Amino acid sequence: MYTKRIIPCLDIKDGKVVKGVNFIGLKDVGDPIELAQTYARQGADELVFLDITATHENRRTIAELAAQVAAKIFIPFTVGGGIRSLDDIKQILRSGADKVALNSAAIKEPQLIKKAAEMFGSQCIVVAIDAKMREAKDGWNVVIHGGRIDTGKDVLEWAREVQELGAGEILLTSMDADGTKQGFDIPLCHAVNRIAKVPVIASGGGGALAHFYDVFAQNAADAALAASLFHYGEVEVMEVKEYLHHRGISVRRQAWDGDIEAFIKRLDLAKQDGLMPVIVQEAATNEVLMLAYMNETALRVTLTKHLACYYSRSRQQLWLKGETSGHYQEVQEIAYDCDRDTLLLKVHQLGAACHSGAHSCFYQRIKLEKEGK
Amino acid sequence: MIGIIDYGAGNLRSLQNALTHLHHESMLCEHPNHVAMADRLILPGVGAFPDCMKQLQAQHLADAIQNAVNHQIPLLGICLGMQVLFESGTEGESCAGLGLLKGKIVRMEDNQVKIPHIGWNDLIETKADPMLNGLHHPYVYFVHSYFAQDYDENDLVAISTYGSLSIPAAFRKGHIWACQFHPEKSGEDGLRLLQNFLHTESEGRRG
Repeated sequence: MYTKRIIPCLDIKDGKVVKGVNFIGLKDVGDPIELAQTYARQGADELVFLDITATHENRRTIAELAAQVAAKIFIPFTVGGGIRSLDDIKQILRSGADKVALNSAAIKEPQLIKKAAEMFGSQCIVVAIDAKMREAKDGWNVVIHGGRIDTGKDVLEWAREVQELGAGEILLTSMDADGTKQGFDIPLCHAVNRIAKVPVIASGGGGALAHFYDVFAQNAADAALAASLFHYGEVEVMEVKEYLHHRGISVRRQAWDGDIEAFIKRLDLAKQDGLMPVIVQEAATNEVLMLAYMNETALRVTLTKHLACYYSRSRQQLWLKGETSGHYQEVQEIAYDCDRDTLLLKVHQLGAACHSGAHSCFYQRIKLEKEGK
Repeated sequence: MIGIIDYGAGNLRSLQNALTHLHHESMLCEHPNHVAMADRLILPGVGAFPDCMKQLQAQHLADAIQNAVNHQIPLLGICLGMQVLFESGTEGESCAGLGLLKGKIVRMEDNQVKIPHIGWNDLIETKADPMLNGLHHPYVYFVHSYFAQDYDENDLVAISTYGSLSIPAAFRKGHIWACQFHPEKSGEDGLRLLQNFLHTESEGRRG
């Protein structure tokens, strides 16, 4: 089933992530690559990077950022902000971005949309439309430059025009709702989505789980974008998806969520004759406690009981840690590595991990002689 | 060495990045000689069917691909790269494809949904196949307006549904693999599918 997309947006200034409230009062919230990887892990369907400084000198910085993102993240991403020419578009796409978002340049030169769609394909041309309700409250006008300039263009007219010119998607930001966290501008999104032949991404105002439900349930958009909500960790992408899923909105869910069979299927248990090394860390401190092995049964027990269960190679039997000593390990988190053949367990260790009574099995140290002594 | 067919279109960087991430070296093949050096081939693609075919022929890559397939070199077609593996396409003008898979490429028509089909959709397996090893209810990323029809049911591995349409999403005929979606952009599930392709036995023999 086709799914609704959740898209975190990263506003970039000088290579760092920022997010303003109504575009005023910027605050640094982090490293874009790290944040992007976090979002991808949390189940983001796509990412949008907006260069808010958008000066010509920054074109190279944002292209370099795109290249770094493309090397580490295997979901689609869009780069926007200050893209003015076919050369700009080419540079960004060549760096590894999947799509570019055109905003004020498209207003100034609508033919840029057409030329870009012909040269690179509609699928990679997103037209960003910033909309503001007219004073007469009879519709919305397209605004540019962070809402400071009213172009006098009607949003619906412009949406029709950009589709005709070859836009592959419309990123629709409500300047009235942006930064308010009071919910997406549903009347606006609904009006545009009704006439749209291409996907509409709703942006501006998302501040609570219910807002995402509202915009999708009312069929006002195909995707929803938010920034600060996710940056400050108020809501996780995965939470939004679970919320939507439980209310009947189709979303992409990571298949192993609570699904033991799916999780086990993902692992490469065959590689080491059915045994998988498990690195165990204390969840609170990240101290490495021990290394042990699990077979499939041990893993099933662990996933079911949320208590670490291993396979003892010396005794050749299952070993529910703590069963005799009381030193159980309460499992907080399980991760698998890139090759899917090693597990990392984060646990809350009751008592000691080591049979010797030490908290960690790695209590014996070798002194390293420094070179040149 | 994995050869990525480069006929001057599309975002090849993403595919290269995905292969690098999976610890596999790849090279771009603009010339038939490059194709002949690869022990596995990927034909990516974004754009229009006729342009792609014209370019493949102009660079003499069409014959090189055919030759590699005859030598049992595993081939994976992605998106438009999947579509041109079929017999013909009707994008703009009617155009012959590489003819490695039976079927034709036609425009998707459904008034109830937006075309192109852009976004994430889940795969429904139509048969158990090594292509989907280790995958459990995967979601993958699509961007397309055309799809395969009149194909051989035996080649079909998975479909997706979109509106009233049943979209053939993945095919495998022996060492010819094909997917309508973008595995290099489909997160962990997509990487796993690529890995399955990379680990498939290559019986390729170069004479």
